[in-house]
Amino acid sequence: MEYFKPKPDYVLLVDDCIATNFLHQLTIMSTGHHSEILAFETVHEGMEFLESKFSQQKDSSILLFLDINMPGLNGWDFLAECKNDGFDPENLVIIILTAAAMNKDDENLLLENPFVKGILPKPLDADGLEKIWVDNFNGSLHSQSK
Amino acid sequence: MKEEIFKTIFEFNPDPIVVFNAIGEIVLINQQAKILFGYKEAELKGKRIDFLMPAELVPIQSAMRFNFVQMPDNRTLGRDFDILALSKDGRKFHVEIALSPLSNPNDGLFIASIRDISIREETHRNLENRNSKLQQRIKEIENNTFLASHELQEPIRTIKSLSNLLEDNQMNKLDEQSKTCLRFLNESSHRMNLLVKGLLDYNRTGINSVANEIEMPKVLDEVKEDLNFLIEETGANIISDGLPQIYAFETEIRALLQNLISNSIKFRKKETSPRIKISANKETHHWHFTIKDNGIGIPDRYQDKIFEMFYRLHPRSQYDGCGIGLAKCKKVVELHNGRIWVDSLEGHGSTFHFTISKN
Repeated sequence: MEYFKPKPDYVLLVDDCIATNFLHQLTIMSTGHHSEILAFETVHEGMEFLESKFSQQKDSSILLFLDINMPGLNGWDFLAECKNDGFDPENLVIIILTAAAMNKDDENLLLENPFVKGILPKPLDADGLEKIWVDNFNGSLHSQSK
Repeated sequence: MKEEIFKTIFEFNPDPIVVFNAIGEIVLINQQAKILFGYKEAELKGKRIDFLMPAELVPIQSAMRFNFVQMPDNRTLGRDFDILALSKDGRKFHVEIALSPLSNPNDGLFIASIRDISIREETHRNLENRNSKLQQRIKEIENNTFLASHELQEPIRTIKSLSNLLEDNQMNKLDEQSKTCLRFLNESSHRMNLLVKGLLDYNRTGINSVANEIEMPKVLDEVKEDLNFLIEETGANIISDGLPQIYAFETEIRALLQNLISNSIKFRKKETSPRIKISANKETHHWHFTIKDNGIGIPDRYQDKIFEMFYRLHPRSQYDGCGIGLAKCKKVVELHNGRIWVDSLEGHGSTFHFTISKN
């Protein structure tokens, strides 16, 4: 694929575990990434941010790490709401994070979702991040310039 | 006419039937008997019935027949002890024989309805065999879980101790980020500790338990005693009505009540003191208990999910927990051949129901 998206305006973390969000924030920062990183503990808070961002600026570019297993409304519900709200998959790249082993059917179902560009095990590491950058954004993380 | 009916019943009976006389000679056999034993009718007519038994069993089995002919009544042989039959091709097989005299005693004729139960016997033996292997596997798994939980606790305790040590001695040398790291390290290892303990407790539920007659009002008092601090702190009001004596595992039932009551208190509405009512109803086969609260309630779509292992409904920052409590409640209730479910309307309290088998 020749076309690469520009660097995202925001990186969002949606995970009910505060410790995990903190760790992921540090991991992303340690790879030299400079987008604004925001963490949300519930589907509701994450959706609220997306809705207000996209209504202010339709072409905001957002990378979002989504924990699939959350209490109450979970990652599946989040994806359903993204579709309902009519977000543009060009502007919203979602990477699914999962701690538990996932069955093949669920995995395929997730990968068919237009927003989902990858599934990674928790916790996120530098190699996983680099791959996301190469696959979805403007080249390698390390060649990014502010 | 009567003879017609008899003939039809005889020939089309799904069980093999042999008619014999007082000295044990075969008089008549039906189609199924020919198939079962592999003989033509002419080969058997006039032969003694011993002909259809393995030679070594003829003395004892013909003694039984003799006894029957002396005092003919309806009886079934082969249930409490094995009876073997022999077919033309030499196959020995287990049978059940229903014996009865023909309607007119003066005829001196008797009916033996023979059922081949060898497949049933074999299935039974296979089942017993598999069952004992299964029991052995379960014991092994239980034992491994127990060992694994203990093994896991050791490194967790080490992590906890080390991070506590850092916190106590080095805190003032750390920058803000490192302090946060340390705090999360502590919290995570604490949670891991709770998870492993919860899992161990879940797996051991019902093992080595002995059922007893237990007084539910007394069990409830003990639970209230254990939860005393929580009850005082939240101003919870717990009332009960008509709690019976039941036959059950005491430790497990206490844990069940304690889990449900502490949930009712934990998931209370802000600014509202918990009110909890526990009652019981006698049904045909079960005791039906209800625990009704005035808490935050549970949305419809999660009312089944909450009983699943590790399932939680709220972020940890709102309501802490491992997601094991209700899974354990379900296990306890199922140990007592009962069911557990919840009626609830979000924002309007929950009523947990469970049933316990009367015996």
